Amino acid sequence: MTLNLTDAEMDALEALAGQKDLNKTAIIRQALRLYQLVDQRMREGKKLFIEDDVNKVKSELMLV
Amino acid sequence: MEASVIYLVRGADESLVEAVLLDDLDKPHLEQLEATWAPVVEQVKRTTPRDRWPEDWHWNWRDKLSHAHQTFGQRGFCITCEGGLQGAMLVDLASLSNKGTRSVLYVDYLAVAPWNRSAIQTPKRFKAVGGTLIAAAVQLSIDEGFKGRIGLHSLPGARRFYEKNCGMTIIGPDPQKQNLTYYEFTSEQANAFLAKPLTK
Repeated sequence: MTLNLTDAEMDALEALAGQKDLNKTAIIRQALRLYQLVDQRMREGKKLFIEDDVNKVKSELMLV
Repeated sequence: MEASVIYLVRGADESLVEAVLLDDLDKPHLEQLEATWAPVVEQVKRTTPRDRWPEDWHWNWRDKLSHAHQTFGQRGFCITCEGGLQGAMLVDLASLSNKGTRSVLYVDYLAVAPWNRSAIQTPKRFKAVGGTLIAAAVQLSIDEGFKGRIGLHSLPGARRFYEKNCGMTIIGPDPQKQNLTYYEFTSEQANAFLAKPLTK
C-alpha cells in the first residue's frame, strides 16, 4: 500500500514522530487505533470532550 | 492467538514450572477467572477486615473486556499453568500520555491470581507471574515501535513491586486517576528489566 500525503501532512507526521519518539509507521498505526476508538465510542452514543485544564471549560469534539 | 512457553517459580520449593503466556484474553479465560479467582477473593473478604481486602477486588473484567474486543487498540494477555489462570493483563496501544512527550504503551489492568499474592497465601503458589506480564508488555511495546516504554498507574499495594522489582521511574501521583501513582519505564529501564531473571 502506498500512502500519499501532502507536504504539510508529511511535515506533521515527521514532527509527531520526533516528538513522540516513534517511527512514522507507528504514528500512523496509533492514529488509526485512536480513530477507531473514538468512532466506536461515538457509535455507542458517547461523547468526546476536551477540557481546558486551567479554567475547566469543556468543548465537545463534534464528529458530523 | 500466540502462545509462548514460559517458566514460573513454584512458591513451595522454588522449582521452575512450565507455563503458557497467551497474547489473548477471551471468554474462556474470563469464565475461568470468574470461577476460580472470585471465590478466593470472597473468602478473603469474609474473613479479613476491609483494609486488607485485595485492592482490585472490585475490578469487573467482563466489563473491561467487552470494550477491549471492539477495538484493536487494546490487547489482552494471560498466563496459564497447571490448568489454572495465573494472571491477566489488558494493555492500551491507543493511549496519549500527558505525563511526558514520548509515547508509551499503557498497562490498563494487571492482576495475578489470589493464590499468587503473598498477602493472601504464603508461600505463593507461583512467583514471577506479574513480572512475566510486565515483560510481555515491554516486548509488545518494542514490537509496536514504542521502544520498550510502558506506563501504568499502580494501586498502593503494588507500588513496591513496580518500584523495587521492576525498577520503574516514579512520575508521581495523578489527580486525574484517584491520585494513583503513575510509573513509566524508559527504553533503557525496559531493556534492563528484560535482561534480568524473574524470580518474584
